[in-house]
Parts: sequence; structure tokens; C-alpha cells
Amino acid sequence: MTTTDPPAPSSPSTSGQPAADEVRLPAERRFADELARLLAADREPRPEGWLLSPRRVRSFLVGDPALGVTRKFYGDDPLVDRCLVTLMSNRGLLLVGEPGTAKSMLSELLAAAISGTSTATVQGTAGTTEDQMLYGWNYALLIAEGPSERALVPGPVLTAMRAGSIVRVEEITRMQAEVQDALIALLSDKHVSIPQLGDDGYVGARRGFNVVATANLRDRGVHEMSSALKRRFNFETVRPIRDPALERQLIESQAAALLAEAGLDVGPPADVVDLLVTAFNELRSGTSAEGVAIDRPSAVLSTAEAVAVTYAACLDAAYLGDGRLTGRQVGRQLIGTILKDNPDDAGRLRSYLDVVVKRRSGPWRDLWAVREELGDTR
Amino acid sequence: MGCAGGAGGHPLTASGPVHAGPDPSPKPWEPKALRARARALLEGAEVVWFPIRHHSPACARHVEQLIHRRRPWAVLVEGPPSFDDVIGHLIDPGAAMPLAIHAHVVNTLGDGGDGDRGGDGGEAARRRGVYFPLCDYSPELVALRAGAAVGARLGFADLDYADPAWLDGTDGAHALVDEHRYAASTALTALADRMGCRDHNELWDHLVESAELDTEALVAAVSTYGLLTRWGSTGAVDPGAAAAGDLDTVREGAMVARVRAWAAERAETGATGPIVVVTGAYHTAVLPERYAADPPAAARPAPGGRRPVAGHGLVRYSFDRLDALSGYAAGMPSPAWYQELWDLGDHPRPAAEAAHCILRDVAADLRAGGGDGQPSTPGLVDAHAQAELLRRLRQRSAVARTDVADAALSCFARGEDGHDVRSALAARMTGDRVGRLPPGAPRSPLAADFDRRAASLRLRIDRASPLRVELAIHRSERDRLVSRFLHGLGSVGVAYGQLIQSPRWTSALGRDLTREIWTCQLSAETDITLAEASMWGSTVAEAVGVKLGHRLGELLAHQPTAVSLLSLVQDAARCGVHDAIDPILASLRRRIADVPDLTDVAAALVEADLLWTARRPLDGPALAGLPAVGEQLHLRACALIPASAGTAPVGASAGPGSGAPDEQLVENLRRVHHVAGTATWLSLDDSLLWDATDRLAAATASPRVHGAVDGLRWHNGRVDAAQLLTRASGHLAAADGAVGSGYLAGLLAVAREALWEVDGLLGAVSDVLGSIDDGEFVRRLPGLRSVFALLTPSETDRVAEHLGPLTGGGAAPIVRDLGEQALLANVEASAAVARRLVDDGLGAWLAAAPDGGGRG
Repeated sequence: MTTTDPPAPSSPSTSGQPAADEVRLPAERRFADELARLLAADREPRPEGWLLSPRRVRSFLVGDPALGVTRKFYGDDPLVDRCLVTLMSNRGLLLVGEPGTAKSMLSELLAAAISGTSTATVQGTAGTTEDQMLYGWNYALLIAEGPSERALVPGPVLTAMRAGSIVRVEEITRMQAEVQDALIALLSDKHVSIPQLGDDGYVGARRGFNVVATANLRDRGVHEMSSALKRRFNFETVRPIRDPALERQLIESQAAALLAEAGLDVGPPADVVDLLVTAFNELRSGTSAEGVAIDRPSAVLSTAEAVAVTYAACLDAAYLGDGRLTGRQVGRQLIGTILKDNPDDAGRLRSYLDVVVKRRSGPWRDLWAVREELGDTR
Repeated sequence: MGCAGGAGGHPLTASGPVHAGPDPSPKPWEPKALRARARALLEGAEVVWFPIRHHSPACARHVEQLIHRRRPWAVLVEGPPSFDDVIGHLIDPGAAMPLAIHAHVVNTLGDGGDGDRGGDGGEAARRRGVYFPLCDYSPELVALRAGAAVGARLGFADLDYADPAWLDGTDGAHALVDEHRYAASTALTALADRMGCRDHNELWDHLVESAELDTEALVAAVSTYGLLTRWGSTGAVDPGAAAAGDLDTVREGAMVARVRAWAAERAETGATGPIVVVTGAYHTAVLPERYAADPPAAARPAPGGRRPVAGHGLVRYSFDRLDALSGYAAGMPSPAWYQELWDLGDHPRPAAEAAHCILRDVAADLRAGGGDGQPSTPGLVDAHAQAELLRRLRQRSAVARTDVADAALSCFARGEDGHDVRSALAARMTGDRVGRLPPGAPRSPLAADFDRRAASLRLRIDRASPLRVELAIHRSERDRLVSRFLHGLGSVGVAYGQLIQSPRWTSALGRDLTREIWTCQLSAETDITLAEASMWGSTVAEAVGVKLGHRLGELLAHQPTAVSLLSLVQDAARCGVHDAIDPILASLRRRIADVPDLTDVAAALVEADLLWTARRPLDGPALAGLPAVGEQLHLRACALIPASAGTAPVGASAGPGSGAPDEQLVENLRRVHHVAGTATWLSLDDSLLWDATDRLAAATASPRVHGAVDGLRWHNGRVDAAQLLTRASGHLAAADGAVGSGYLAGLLAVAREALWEVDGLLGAVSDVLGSIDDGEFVRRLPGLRSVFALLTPSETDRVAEHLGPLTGGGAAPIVRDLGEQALLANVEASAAVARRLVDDGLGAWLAAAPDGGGRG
């Protein structure tokens, strides 16, 4: 699954925010007009604290041609239903899956459509602390006045609880287990006590509050979640797109959007996109179109990676080549995508080139030519 | 109008238009028109057309109500009219679903013209088996039961399954119903997509099963489903003009003809009740129009007055077979879910209750499985809430199958993918129900023969627990018969006996075992597989024979090896099909002269030898043709051996253990000489084989082959020990170590005893080892190791005994727990220490140190 990420509208309708030359706008500003149209057309009951009714949130994600709402999430509509229903319940939502399957994008879109804001976000790292999630203090004020509401610096979670909105916790398993566990009480009791504030220190979450977390359970450097925390989440697995036609369409449209943003008026030729989709599929599945078994590289080969390869190959062709995209540029980018931390992957790519690519014609000849650039990997 | 997309509601109960066809303009698309069509189907005074989807509880419920309301004169359901005779058993209160009617057909119509194919490759093409599965909530069965309750005549209407049109239009075993059309329909796929449903099954649940419709709305929905499939697959817009595949046209013609015949009868009797015709929606889409339009056609005579050989019977069926996902694509998925819905028919909220049962059982199943994060009671409560919220989000009147599955997945999964939840869910949704035949139901002829033979062999078939059967096949004639019976059943795929242990006739290992041990168990699978095997014959013996002939045909069509034909002989002997053995041996004899591969010939020779040795329990007389085959194989081997020289590469590349062609060649030589030397049942000309062997030795430079040939000569007294020792020493002394080890490997492969029986041979080996330095030893070790790995432990001891005195160590203790890697590491470490000592000017110490002894 991958989401479209078209260029931002030139003038975001949300006011009070700085300029439109930000590299990337949050979803609620990028799709502000779509959200406005959905809101205007929404006649259905809304769960308390929600900006839109669940069916309109669904439309926001899977598209509604009648309202001019684009599809942003592909490949698994029942997953969207399950996520929405989970967010209406008293459990948190945990999106898991391989890297590059648009988990973060899905969480951003859900937060934008449900709460109108996707910026209440905790980015999980090994160094994330409980203070950064819940609240910290302005120490100058704390020393001058003692603990007070004025001296309190609320973190994203506390802000979302007070506002009754969705808080996103990205890469939850990268946080230390004890920091993760701070979420347990919060998810069951839905309130936080700030003992320093005495009687005023009780913050109960307003309706509409919930947590959308994302995690990659297989990556290196992750911390196992405690069973207690797992029980408070519904797990939803986001899978890579398996339909080559759909993937192809996505790669084309997304690469075109990125290229337009970069001011380039070139699109990838159809046969090169075919090559890319085929190569990605073969390397992912471990079987060539002719049924030959291939040793699969361990590197992540998501649709998002395929878009990045297409985009970078187009830039290569435009700025460093003669403007014509061939298998050669794709091949160079493919090397960069596959050769990451596992030295064996170079050999796997070489054997794929030798065993499968070499026998093919057309742009595949150019792809095979990058074999020299792989260096000696035997 | 969608599950969760667009405007809400049901298209046939709300007022929105349905835009699903290729052409939105004609009126028949509008809900009003579709409802009018439904009314016309239901309100006919003469014929009521009731469209269904096979195995749909909603259709079943409404057809039941309709029959009780209209009290028809007759009920006709889709199915071959020959099945009429099992209706009584189907509606018998003693029958428990799921049951299936199984029919088999053997097409004898084409026999005149292609006699060549008879019994050979064409066999499978001429035989067909079909299923007609039924469960409690199958509308066909419910209609028959309801019809019986109101005293209506009951019958089937369709093309007879033995009709040649069936045989031409279908292939292999398949079901008599047509689910695949729905899955393949582009119109239904597009509609499902529009309505936010993942596939046509969810669409069906959304529009029909979970929709709480009245009969007219249901018939409108189902008939639209059929029309869409028809339009989607043919592109035709007008239902009357919808062209269908030839088979469909013929079948629908037969359905109409049967309805017409019954209508005529009804008119004669002056009955007032209508005829209710229950057919798949795909067919009902055109049946009324064809009934109204077609002139009565004359009955089609069978070509040449001949009919295919056919039979049918009732068999127990099971839910896992019924499940469209694993079975013959013959019904809706998840039978246990729909069974719950059907059983809860009187419940005020059947779907909610069924969801409760399923979620509860899945949670219990997951808890029993243990592991991290098993569903707690609050988790179960959450799952219920989740299913209910999904229902609301997807705008259904009742919870559907997919809502329950999604809820379980969301609330029970505690990790990536949720494999355990998915499999628990799949198991519960599919169910493990197995049907029961009513008392007195006829068994198929094959099943009846199975019963008879099992009883006469005193094999108990009346209980479901596994039965252990031990057969003394060498001593008891009865046990041999049982063994043949069980082997025969296995060969035609009947699930009854499982062979646990047996003498393996064609392998020296295990030939001495005297008993076969089987586990026999009668299960629903036995019935089903017996039904499937019906197409091979009406008795077990016939089926086994025909199937064996079929296998022979398939083998002969694809350049069979001699070994494969001999194993077919073995199978025939084990199954007791002795008649089949001679023809197989005859075709083997015809082929031997052309067998290109020495390996195949050598293996076949060994197999023939073993088969002959085991001939008594396999029934010897039938194997009378075997010696002729053995002698021919021997001749062929003699012709192939000299020619094999070219396949053996020379020198160093052919290291021992490399799996090189010369290793195989040596093994082939060993086999041929072994059989030639021991098979007293064959009258062979020894000189031919030795001549061939000598020519091979003269033509090859492979040390391994030379070692083997010398070993064979010594073993058979053609050279004496001294000559062997001379030749061996010569090879061992070669500068290239691979020559020595290759020669030894060849020698030991055919005559291991030379090591201790030929005086001086071990000494020669030891001398060579002593003369090389540590580096060379390390290089040669892997090759040597694989040479000596052939020895058994006691032979190793023997070698060590002989070796001890040679290396001056006396009867040295044998170190057994030292692996090759460790030994190599030790030798390398020792060499490294020696180098250091020399480097440090302490080389003198080395000379002073006592020698560690031999390395053998």
C-alpha cells in the first residue's frame, strides 16, 4: 500500500501558517479543499470529537469522485474500515508492516481527517523520553513561580488529550520499553495526573482522543512491546501492493507529480516503468516472470522505493544524461537501493542480472549494462 | 449505495438507480423494472421461476416460505434428472448433511474410431466424475424438503450428466454447479468495487444475506445478480438475447424441456398448484423467456443409440470440501458461518448471534493455543463492538461474514499479519461437519464392492477409530490378499489404509522384514474418494486394473525408463493385478535395446533381481517373464559399458566425492557385476561382461574406473593379490594425489575387503601418507576421508588393527570423536608451531621431539 502524494496546492487555505514554500505540508493543509468539501457534504452522525463522520473519513482515504476527493490509500479498503472502527473504540491503533508500506502516511491521513490536525506527533527514537510525550517544564518559570499551568510545557500527547484529537506515535518500537509503557495507563484510564499541580493536575482526555502508532516489528534496533501495551492496541498489518498494474499506475502518477514539482517536464517512458515494476516484483517474490528462482535481496523493495528510483533516474537522465530515461539510469539507482547494509545483496543483484536480465531485450539490455558498475562482488 | 462508499441503502429497497451495466439507458436496469421482473417470476400461475445462488441460506429461507405459501403441484430443482431416484434418500429424516450426489461417466462413444488410445493416454479423457453437494441450507434441498412437506411432486431439471455435451464441455472432476461464473464476472467485480466490497462474495452478503429483504426484493436481487453475470460475461444487454456458451444453451434447453414436460402432465391432471422451478440465477436469467418462446423440440436421440457408461450414488461430504476456498469451487465460502445463520433461523437476530458464537470459539481456540496476548474477555467484548461498528460503517442490516472476520483480526491479532488469528478464523468459519447417509441409501457399485471385499477379508469397516493391521505376507495367503486389496485401494486414491511399514521389494535394505503394517480407518474421506474412484471401474479390482493401464499408457507416452516400468511391475504385483504384468514386461523388452543410459539399465537389473528374490509373496508365476527381461538387461549393459568410457573425465578433476560421472560409472559397474555374479536365476554369458569391462578399462584414463575394474578382477579371481598390489602401488605413487585417491575410491567401491585381505596394500597407503608433508596431507585429506568413509565401523577397526603395527605405534587406540575439521585444525596448528620454532632458531627441538605416530 502506498499513498499518493501530489504536490501541495499553491495557496493553502489554512491561514495563520507560514508560507507555501515549505518542503512538505501536513495532510490537513495539502488536502484542505477536499476536507472542506467533505465537511460541507457531511450529513451523517459523527462520533464525539470527530471532525467528519467515519464514512466521510473513509471517502477521504479511498476517494469519492462525486466530491472530487482523490484516492490516497491503495490496495486494502477493508483495512481502512478496520482502522476507523478501532479509532472509534477505546483501543489504540497500531499499524505494523514492512518499511515503505505507507504506515505513517495512513496515520497522518487518519489524524488529518478525524481531528483536523496531524501534527500532534511523537517521533519514537531510542532517545525519546516520557517528558517529550506528555509534558515538560519551562525551568525558568518553574524556579521563579513554582509549578504552575504557566510553567508547564505540554507534549503532543497531553495536547491531544486536552483537545480531544488523535495523537500519532511514530516508530513506537524504537522507544525504550519503559517509555512505551507510559502509554499503558494513558490508553486504559484516558487521563494523566501532574502531581506538581496538585488538584489542578488531573487531565482527563476529551472525547475524540486516541493514539495511532506505527511500528516495524522486524527491523533491527527495535524494542519488544510489553504484552500489557499490546493488549491496548489493535494491530493492523499494512501490506505492500501485490497488484503489478496498480503498482505501475502509482509509480507513474507519483513520479510524474514529483517531477512536476521539481520543474521537469519529463515522464518515465512506459517500457522503463514496465521494467521497473517487473524487476521489483521479481526481486521481491524471488521468482522471475519465466519461473526462474532468484535469490531475494534482503533490502526493502517497497513501492515507495520504486517511486524514489524512478524519480532519481529521471533526474539523472535530465541533468546528467541526454534527457532520455533508459534502463541504465534505472539500473544505477537500483544498485543504490539494493546495496545497503547486506554485502550479500550485491551478489544477489549480480546473479539476477546474469540469470534473468541478460536474456531479455529492449531496455533490459541497458539494465544489464550496469553490471560493470557493481564492481567485483564475488 | 455501497457497503461503505457512496449513498447508503440497498439498491432494490431504496429508490436509487443501479448503473452497473454497459448501457444505462434501457429501462430493465431500473429498480422498478427489476422488481417487476421479480414479481412476474414469482406470480406465474403455471410456472414459478425461483432464482437462487447455490448454498445461500437467504435463498433457502425464501424458497421454503414461497413453497409453503403457493403449495405447488411440483417442485423442480436444477440437476440431472437421473438423480430423481436419490431424492427420497436426500429428504429422509435420517440423512444428515452435507451429502453429495456423485456421478461418474465413462465415455464409450468414441471407442470405434480410436482403438489405439483405449487403455492408454486417452483413458483419463474418457472418464469424468462430478459432484452435486448439498447442505442443510442449500436452496435445492430445502425446496425438495418443503415440496415433500406440501405433497408436491419432486424432480430434477437439467441436462443429464451422461450427455455427450457434458463430456465435451467439461474436463476432469468438477462440480455440477457454476460458482466460477460469479468470480469471473467483470460486472460483479465492478459492482463490488463501487460498493466498497472486496469481492463478489462480500457483495452477495451485503446485497442478499445481510440485507433482510422480503421475498420479492430477494428474488429481484438474486435475479439481478444472475443477469449481471450473464451480461458481464457475454456483453449482451437484453436478457432474452443473452448468448451463452454452447453447453449452457444445451443445458437450459434441457431444463426448459423438462419443465415443459411436467407442465403438460400438470395440465392433464388438471392440478391447480404451479410448478416451482428452482435454478441458479445465471440460468433463471433466460429460462422464462426460452420457456415462453421455444417451440417444443423433439427429444434428441443419443448418437448411434449408444449411451456412455454412467452411474451415481450418494456420498458423505464434509464442510472443508464444501468450502469454495478449498473444494471444487462449488459453493459459497465458510460453510460453518452459513450453517450457524441457518440454524439460528428462528432467532430474532441470527447474524449477531452467529457472530457471537464464531468470535467466542475463535477466542477460545486462540487461548487454547497459548502464546503471547491471547484474547481476554474484554478483548472479546471489543471484538463484538468492532463487528457492530463495522456493520454500521458498511451500512448493512445485519453483521456479515467479513465484518466478523475483520473484527476478529483487529481485536485478536497481536503481531504482524495475525497468522494464528487467520487460521483459527478459517478453521471455525469452514467447520468440520461431516454428513451421514440415511439408512438404506444405495452405495455406489464401487463402494458396495469395497464393503463386500473388506467384509470377506475380515477388515472391520464399521467403526471410525483407526485399526492396526499386521500382515504376514510371506506365510499367510489371506494376509497377502489383504495386502493386495489395501495396495490396490491406495493406487486408485481411496483413503482407507495407510502403509506404516513394509518390506521394500526393490531395495536390499528392508527386504528381510517379513510383515506389512497398516493403519486402516474408515472416514468421510473414504466415501468421497471411493466415489471419485468410481470413474475407474465398478469393482475395486476393475478400478485398480484400469488405473494401472492408464498409468502404463502415460508412462509409454513419455519415453519411460526401464526402472519406472519395473516399478510399475512391482505395483501391479503388489496390487495383485497379475494380468497386467506380462504386457508391461513385454513393452519393457521391446524397449531395452534402445535404453540409452547405463545407469538406468544397471538400476533396472538390480530391481529385477530384487523383484525375483521377493517373488513368492508377490505371486511368483506372474513374474515368469522376468528372467528374459533380466538377460536382456545384462546384454544391454554389456553393450553400454565400453561406450561409457567417454563419459569419465581424466585425472585430477575427478576427485573422490565429487559426484563426477565416473563415480556413477563405477557404481553402475558394481551393480551389473554384482547381479551377474549372484543371480543364479539368470543364465548369463560371463565372458561378454568381462570383455566389455576390459574394453572400458582400455579406453578410459580415469583412475577411479581403473581402481574399480582392478577390484572386480581381483574379487572374481581374474588377477591375484600381488598383481593388484603392484597396480595399486603404482597409482598411489603418482605425483598427483588425486590419482591415488581416485584409484583407491574405485577399488574400495567394489571390493573393500582388499584393504585387509591383500597383504601390503595398507602398507602402501601408509607409506604414501608418511612420505608427504603436512601441507600436502591437508590438501589430500578430504579426498582420502571420503574414500575411507565407505567403511563400516567394524571394518574401520579392522583397518586400524592392521595399521597399528605398520606405523610403529602398536595397537594404537582409535580416536573416534575427532572430526575432519578438528583434525585439519590440529595439523595446521602443529605446522604453525613448527614454523615458529624454526623461525626462532629452535628447529633442533623439533628433531628431538617424539614423532606423533601415523596419521591414518
